[in-house]
Amino acid sequence: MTSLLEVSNVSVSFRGTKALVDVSFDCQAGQITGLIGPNGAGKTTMFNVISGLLKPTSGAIVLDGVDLSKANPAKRARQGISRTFQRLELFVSLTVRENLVVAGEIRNSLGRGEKFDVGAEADRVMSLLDLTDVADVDVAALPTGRARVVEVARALMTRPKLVLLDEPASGQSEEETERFGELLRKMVDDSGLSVCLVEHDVPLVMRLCDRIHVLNFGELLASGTAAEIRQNTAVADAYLGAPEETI
Amino acid sequence: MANFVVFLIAGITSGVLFALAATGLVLTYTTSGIFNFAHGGVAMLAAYVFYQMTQVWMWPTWLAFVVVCFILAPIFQIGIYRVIMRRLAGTSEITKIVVTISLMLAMFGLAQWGWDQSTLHAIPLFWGVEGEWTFHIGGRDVYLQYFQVFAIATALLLGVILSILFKRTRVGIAMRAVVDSPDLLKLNGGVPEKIAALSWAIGGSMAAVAGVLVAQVQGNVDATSLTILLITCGVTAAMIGRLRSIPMTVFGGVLIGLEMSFFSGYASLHSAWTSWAPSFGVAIPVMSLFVVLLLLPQDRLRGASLSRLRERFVVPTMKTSWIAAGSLLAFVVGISQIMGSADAQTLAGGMALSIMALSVTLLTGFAGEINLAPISFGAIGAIVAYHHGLIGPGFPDQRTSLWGIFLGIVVTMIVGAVVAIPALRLRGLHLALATMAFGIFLSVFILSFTGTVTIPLVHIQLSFVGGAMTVPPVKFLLWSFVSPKAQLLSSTALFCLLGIGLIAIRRSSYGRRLIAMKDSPAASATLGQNLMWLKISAFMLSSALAAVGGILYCIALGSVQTSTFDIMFSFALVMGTVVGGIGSVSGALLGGVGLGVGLTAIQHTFFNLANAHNDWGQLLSWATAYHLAALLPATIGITLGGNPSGSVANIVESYKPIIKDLPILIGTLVALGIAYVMTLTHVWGNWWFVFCFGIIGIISPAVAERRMKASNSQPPQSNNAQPEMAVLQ
Repeated sequence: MTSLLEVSNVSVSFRGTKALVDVSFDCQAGQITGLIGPNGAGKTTMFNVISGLLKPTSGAIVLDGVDLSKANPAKRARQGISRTFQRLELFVSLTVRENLVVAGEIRNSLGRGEKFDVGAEADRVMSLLDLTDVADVDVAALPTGRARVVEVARALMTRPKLVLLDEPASGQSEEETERFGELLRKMVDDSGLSVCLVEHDVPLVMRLCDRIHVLNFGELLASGTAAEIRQNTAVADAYLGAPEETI
Repeated sequence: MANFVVFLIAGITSGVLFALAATGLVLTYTTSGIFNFAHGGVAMLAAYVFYQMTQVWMWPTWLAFVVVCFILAPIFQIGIYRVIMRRLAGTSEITKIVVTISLMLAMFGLAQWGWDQSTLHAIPLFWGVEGEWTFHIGGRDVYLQYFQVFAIATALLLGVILSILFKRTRVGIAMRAVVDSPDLLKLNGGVPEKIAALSWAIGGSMAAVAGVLVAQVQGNVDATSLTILLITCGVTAAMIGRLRSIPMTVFGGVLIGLEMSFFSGYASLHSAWTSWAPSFGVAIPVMSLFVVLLLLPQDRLRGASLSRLRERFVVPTMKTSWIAAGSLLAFVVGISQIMGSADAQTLAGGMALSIMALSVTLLTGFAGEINLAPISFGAIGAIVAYHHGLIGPGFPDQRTSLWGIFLGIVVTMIVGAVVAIPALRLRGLHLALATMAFGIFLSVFILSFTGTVTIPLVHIQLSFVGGAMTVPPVKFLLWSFVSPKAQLLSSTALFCLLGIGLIAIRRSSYGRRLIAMKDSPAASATLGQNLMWLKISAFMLSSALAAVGGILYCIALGSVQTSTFDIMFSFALVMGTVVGGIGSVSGALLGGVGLGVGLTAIQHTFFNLANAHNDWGQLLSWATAYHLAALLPATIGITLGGNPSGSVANIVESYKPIIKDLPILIGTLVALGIAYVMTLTHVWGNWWFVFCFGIIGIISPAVAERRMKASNSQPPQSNNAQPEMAVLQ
C-alpha cells in the first residue's frame, strides 16, 4: 500500500483560535480512511484545507506525489480530489440529473483521464446510488438524507482518485445508512476508489474504515485500525470526557 | 494656510454628515441583513419635508428639524421595515437589492410628485450666511459658520448617544446580539424583530439629520444629486467600516468629506482645470468606493446556502422557445400595422431595452453576478458605434454601419472584461456596489465631458461631443432600417433570436456551469471549474448584449443626452427585469418593454386625461393617477418580497387554463381577431383595441379558470356542494 494523500504538519488558526495544530496523517490508496472526533475537533476544517477552500497557516498537502499546497480548488480537483459538503452545497436550481451531468461536464473539460459519455455515466451513478426515481426532481425538493446521496453521486461523477465525504450518513435512516455503507465498501473494493470519511456515526466508521484518525480540539489524538482505536483510552476520554471530569 | 483651514472645516462638516448617513446604513444592515439602497432616499425626502415645513409652511426651523428627524423619519422607517423588509427573509441577494432600489425609485417618484423638479428649492443655512465667527490666519479672514459647528456637534452628540446605547443599555446589547445570532437571542427571550425595527428607526433619524444638513451645505434640495451624493458617500464610508465597525465608518465618512473638500477647493484655484475638475469632484466618492472594494479581503468561496431560496424558474424547451418567439414576432407584426409611428418608435425603444435586459438575465439570472449598471455598458456600445460607424452624407441621410456596431460590441466586451477582473474577487452585494460605482463614474465623469476623449493606442473615441448625440438608423448590406416600423420589427426579430440564443445557452453545458457557479461557487470549484474564466466570459457576453441593446435604444430614441444613461435608469431596468423574472427571457421582455413602453403609455394616458380635466381639483384628479402610474413599477418592485420569482411566472400560470380549454381558446382568439380587424379597417381607434385587448386578457383566463374548477370538481359526484362553492368563490 502506498499513501495517496499525505497531509503534513497542517495548522490553521482563525484570529488566534487554533482550529488545527500541526496535524499529519495520510490516506492509503484503495482504502476507506476515517476521520472522527467530537464536535469542533476540526474535521470539516481539515476537509476545507485538503480541497483548497481554506488556506492553512502552515503545512503541506501532497496527492499522489504532487505537492498541491499552493493549488486552488479547481487545480486540486483536476489532480483527482473530490468532495461533499456537510452543509449541502447542491446546485439547487438544477435537477438531480443535471447536478450530476454538470459535474461530469466540468470533469470532461479538465483534460484528466479519458472523456466519457456524461449522460450514460450519470445514469449509471444514479442507478448505483438508488437515485433513478428522483432523476428529474429539483434537488431543492429532496429531503436532506437523499440530498446527501446526490452530493456523493456528484462527487463520484468526476471519477476522483480520492473522495472526501463529509458526514454522508447524517439525515439518513438506519437502513439507508446500512445500505450506503455496504455500497461504499463495494465501490472501494471493486473500482479502486479511495475514500476519506468524516462521520459522526461512530459504529458506521468502525465497521467501514480500514484506518481511522481521531482529531480532538484540532490535534491528532490517535491513528490506527478500528480495533486499535476502540481500545485507545485517550479516544474514549475525548468522546465521553475524562474520568475525573465525569465525577 | 488660510485656504487649508477653510477646506479642512468644510471637509469635516460634510464628512461627519456622511458618517452619520453611513452609520445609519451600517446599523440597519447589521440588524436585518438588508443593505438599504433607499437610505439616501429617506435622507432626500427628509430634506424635502424640512423644506416644505420651513419655507412653505413657515414653521420655526428648530421645530421642523425635530419633527422631521426625530418623529417622522423614525416612524417612516419603522413602517418600511414592518411592511416591506421583514418579508424579505429567504430571498436572494438580488431580490433584496432590487426591493430597496425600488423603494428608492418610489421615493424619487414621491419627491417629483410633491415638489416640482424644474424649480430650485433653496434651504437657507441655520443662522444664515452671516452667522459665523471670524479668525485671522496668515493675514486673511477665515470664517467658521455657526451652522458648521452645529452640524459637527449634532453628529458628535448622536455618536456619543449611540455608543452609550450600544455599550450600556439592555436594548443596545440586544442590538449587538441580533448581529451575532438572532436565533440565540430569541431563545433568550429577546425579540429580534422589535430590535431590528428600533435600529431601522434610529437609522432613519440619522439619515434624516444627514439629509437636512447636507441639503443646507448644498444650499438647496435636489432629488437626484442629493440622493446620489448620500448613497455614494454613505456607501463608501460604510464599506470602509466593512459594514461592521462604526468607528471605521465614521473615519470613512470624514475621509470622503475631506477628499472632496480639498479637491474641489484646490482645484477651483486652478483655472485650467475647470474643464474636468467639477465632474471629477463629483466622481470622487465612487472612485473611492471602487478602490475600497478592491482593497477588501477576498470573499471566501462558499455556497449561498441557497436551499431555502424561494425563487424558482422553469426553463422552456427549445421548441417552446421557437414557438414563443414566432408568436411574439407575429404579434408585433400584427400590431405594427395598426400603430402610429410614434408608438412604433416607443415600442422599438422598449424592445431595445429588453435586449439590454437580456444582459441582466444572463449575468444575474444565470451566472448570479450582479450588475447594477447595464445601461452604462449599453452607453459605451452606442457611443463607440456613433463615433466609428457613421456612413453616408450628413443628417438625416446618415446611417450606422455594421462595422460601427461590431466595434461598439467589441469595445464593450473588453470594458466588461476589465470590470469583471475586480469582480473575480467580489460577489453579491460588493459586486453590485462595484458596478454601481462604475456606472456612476461613467455618467458623472466620462460622459460629462464636452470635449473629445480618445482611448490611447486604439484611437477609439469615447465621449459625448457637445452634450448630445444622434445615432442614425442601421444600414445592413442593402437594407436601411429607417422607419420606426422597420426599427421595431428588426429589434423584435433580434430580440427573438437573442432570446432563443440565451435559452440555448441556458440548456447547454456552459449554461449549466453558470447556474452551478451561481448556486454554489464552492462546489463548482471543488469539482474543478475554473471560476475566473466563467465569470469573465459571462461578463463579456452580457456586455455584448448590453451594447447591442444600447445601440438600438439610442437609434430608437433619436437624440440622446448624458442623462439617458443615468444610473437611476439602470436601476429601473434591473428592477424591471427582476420584477418580470430574472431567470427567464420572458422576464427580460416584460422588464424592458414595461420600462420603455408601459410606463410611457400609462403616463401619457393619464397625462392627457389630466390635461383635459385639470379643473377637477387636486387630490382625486387624473394628475394624481398620473403620478401613481409613475410610482407603479417601483410599487411592484417593493412587493417582490411576496413573489420573488417575478411576474412572468404568475402570468403564465394564470393563462394556462385557457390553453387547456379549447372553446375558450378559440373564443379568445376570435375575439382578439375581431378587435384587430376592426382597428385595422379603421372602424375604431387604437385605444379601443388596447381597451378590448385588456378586457379580453382579463376576462378569458378568469372564465377558463372557473370552467376548469367546475370540471375538476365534477368527478367526485358525491360531493355536490363543491361546484357551487367554486362558483361562489
